[in-house]
Amino acid sequence: MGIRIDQKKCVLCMACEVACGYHRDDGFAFLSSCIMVTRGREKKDYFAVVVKEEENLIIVRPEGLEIRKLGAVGEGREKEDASAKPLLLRQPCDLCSDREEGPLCLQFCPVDAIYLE
Amino acid sequence: MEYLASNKIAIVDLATSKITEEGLDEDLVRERIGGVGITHTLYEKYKDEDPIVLGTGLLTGTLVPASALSIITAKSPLTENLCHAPLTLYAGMELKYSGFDYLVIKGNSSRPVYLWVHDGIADLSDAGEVWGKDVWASTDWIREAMGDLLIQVLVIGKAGETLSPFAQVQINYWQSGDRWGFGKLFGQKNLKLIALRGLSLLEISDPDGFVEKCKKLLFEVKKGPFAIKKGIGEMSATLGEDVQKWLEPIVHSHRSCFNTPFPTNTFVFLDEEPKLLKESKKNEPGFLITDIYALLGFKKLGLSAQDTCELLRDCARYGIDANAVLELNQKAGRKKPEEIKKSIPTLKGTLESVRKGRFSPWTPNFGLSPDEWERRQAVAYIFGIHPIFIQLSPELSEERLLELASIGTGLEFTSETLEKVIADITK
Amino acid sequence: MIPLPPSKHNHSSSFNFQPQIGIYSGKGASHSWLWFAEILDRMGCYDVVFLTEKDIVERGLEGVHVLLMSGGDTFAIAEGLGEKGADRLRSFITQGGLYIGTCAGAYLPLRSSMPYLNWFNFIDVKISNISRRLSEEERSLLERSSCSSYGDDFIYHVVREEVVLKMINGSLGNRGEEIVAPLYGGPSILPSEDIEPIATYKGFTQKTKFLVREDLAVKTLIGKIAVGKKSMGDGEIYIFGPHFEHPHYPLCNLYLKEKIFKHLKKGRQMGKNFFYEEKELIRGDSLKGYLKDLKRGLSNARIQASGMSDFNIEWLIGNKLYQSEKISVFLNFLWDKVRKIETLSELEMDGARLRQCIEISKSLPRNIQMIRRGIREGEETTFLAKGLFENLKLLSYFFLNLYFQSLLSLKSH
Repeated sequence: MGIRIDQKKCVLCMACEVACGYHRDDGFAFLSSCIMVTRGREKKDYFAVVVKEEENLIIVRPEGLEIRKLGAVGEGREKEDASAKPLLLRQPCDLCSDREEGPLCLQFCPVDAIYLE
Repeated sequence: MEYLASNKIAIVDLATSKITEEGLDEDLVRERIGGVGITHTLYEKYKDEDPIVLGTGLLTGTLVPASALSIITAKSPLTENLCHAPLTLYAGMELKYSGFDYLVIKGNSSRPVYLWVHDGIADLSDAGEVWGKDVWASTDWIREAMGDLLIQVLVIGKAGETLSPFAQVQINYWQSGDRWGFGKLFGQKNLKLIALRGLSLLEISDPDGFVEKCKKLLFEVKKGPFAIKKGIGEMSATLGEDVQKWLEPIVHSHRSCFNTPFPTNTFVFLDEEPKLLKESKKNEPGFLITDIYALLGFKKLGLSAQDTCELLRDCARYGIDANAVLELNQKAGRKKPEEIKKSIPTLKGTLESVRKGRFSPWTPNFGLSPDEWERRQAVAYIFGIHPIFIQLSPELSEERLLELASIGTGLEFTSETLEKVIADITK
Repeated sequence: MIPLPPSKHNHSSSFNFQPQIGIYSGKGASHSWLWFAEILDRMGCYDVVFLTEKDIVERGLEGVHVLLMSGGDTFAIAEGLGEKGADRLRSFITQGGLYIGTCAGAYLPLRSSMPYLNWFNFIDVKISNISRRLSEEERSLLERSSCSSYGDDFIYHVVREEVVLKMINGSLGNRGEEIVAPLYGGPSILPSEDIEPIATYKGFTQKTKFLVREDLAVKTLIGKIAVGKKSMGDGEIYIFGPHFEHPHYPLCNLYLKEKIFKHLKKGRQMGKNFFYEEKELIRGDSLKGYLKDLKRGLSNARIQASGMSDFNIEWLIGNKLYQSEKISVFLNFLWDKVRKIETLSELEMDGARLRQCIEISKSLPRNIQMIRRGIREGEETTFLAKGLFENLKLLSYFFLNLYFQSLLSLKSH
């Protein structure tokens, strides 16, 4: 089961990103969120929402969903070295497993664009 | 000030290039809450040095619905009054995370400079290289220089550089709610742009309590009439203006400001197929409409949506308030887009629509009386709530915001304090 | 590498402590040595020095009571330290030092015939995760990514992330028998007379990531030694397959702490001060100014690095893959440390060394910018990345030495 996003509904408000940051840091910050709104192509109005899972990167773009194996960057690249130490920056999504009401990003999405699948 | 704040005020003296820092005094917060309450105080403190004060709301950048707002407080070259302009999109949030709660920019620089505010450090640098560039090129320039496309930029274009009274401080590439000619103030100060980026952490006095209240508030907001509506078209409809059919063919998407449930901005594609889902191969395919009145005004002149939005884009690049362009051209009887476009660099005249109030008329009144409108704006500008969304959402009541402010900071804010601050800033 | 000034017995420093814990941060070390720094910092233990291979070779380990060697590239560590470094380690241990090695630091002292490694034959044991113990069929099941070459053989890794260990002989005290620890390529060791087992691999958790079929993982790992100890002369070697210093595993950290402090209590009557001579102690506003300059460089660099997160790029440097995100690991770590000390009004730091840090920090944004532009233009950026990571490591090494030394001094006042 994982977090999925309906791009048609998403308005890129970043509520999910703050909620996730809160889940990790008990404060408001963006550095450790595992759900991110990529906003780098502002002039083109092209955005994606990315969720970091244990093994995959879920990338939701306007044209559809891509599931990218983590550590497999581009074609022909080796998978991540099995002895690589984790970077401990953005931890993979744990579906807020310690929260009774489930994932916080989902509860804070104002347009109900986030769902579990 | 320990919670929901970076606890820092920067005093930037452009005349000497010296930047000093002060803590954000908790007593000041107790007395003035935040946002415009405090920018007003700081303005008074430095008013002999012609300051521009940037400030965050007490709840800006949090999980409180619509907590997108920061503000610019300064004396308007148009009205000669102390006025406040809203900073929305992601810029209000970014200021909150930049490591400063307030920035006081005083004095004039003898040469073009820009202010780079990052992680609690404010640096003034030479802007010779970017002076003369239009708004879009300037934003691209600073983002490339500092290496991050998420940098939020408050920037002037040619209008500000040449001291046009209608010069507007733009946000990145787009028009802002600066209807006070603050762009001219930037120009007078030789301040080309302020770039914001921060990776700070905002701590909360009672984290669980605060987040729980935010969740409940959002739940109620979502039951409101704006829950499934989107964009500048539907917003216009509530003002009794039907722009849907006119605008829809070029609409690419609707975009929210930070954590704002209703997307008040609409992106149109002007040089690209509007329904394109993939990334456009063109670098600058369109424009983000952020100003409802300018849009409606050009429509009323009889312009097509395409022509209107191209004009809005021209205004944004030049860094001029599109409403002023609209009004003065209307007065001159010009209706052709190319004539209007040509008028931009030499625009002169007196605006009759300039309001005498302190809050930007960028926010529609949505049927509220002027007093009610002003009070809601004051509340928005104190707490850091999106000034348009607060008008659409009565759930964001003064009581709820006071309660959130108290839980979030551990300070007790009462309605009497709020009353006093509102009375003070609206008098 | 910038040479360290020679240490002196009776220098004019305002304090006179014996440094006690050394953390290896030299050639071959990955970023996990920062984890050791983090947990010691959290414990308020500031008598720490960071050592490169050059420090160890040139100065030896006099004055160090405990040496912590974390993960990375074992061959590169061995090559960097060389025969002289191996001698230094040997005499450090036999003269009463405690060597704690995790992951690569655990492989290092194991018997080997491979060049470089054969200088470090301190413990005569065999590991279970080596390909010669596999059948042809089992070998064919392994993915290349879970193996690293070892002469004609290769070392393979069967799981990642969490494993359950069984602690032997009540070594956890009243905290039970089992402990959960993270494994990232560390060894599993076959019983031998030359090693005293402290913990064995017992099982897996829901967070275990299998890299091979579960039966092969069980065969390779379960029952084998995960933590072992050997006495050598007056000192001891502790080797840990899993990373007990991982900052998200407080029980493992606690266990390490007990081992370290127990050893420190014993005392090691030897050595001269390992700390650097302080030439120019600064404090108050001038220190604040310096720290702000350092923050400026770090902030500009971490913003540049955050602007690279879209690229999702990695480089092969030596035998290891470096992801672009790793740049932020160093920068954020240093950032947090500067933030921690900037409010300490009584703190004193060496101005000259701080200036060195500031100079390196100033070069970082430009380094990252060049990489970013290179990537955008489709150019090869590995050499630039290599230079950047060297700079990041160097800055961390300089600054953390300064950081711990200053906090220790403050604490002693």
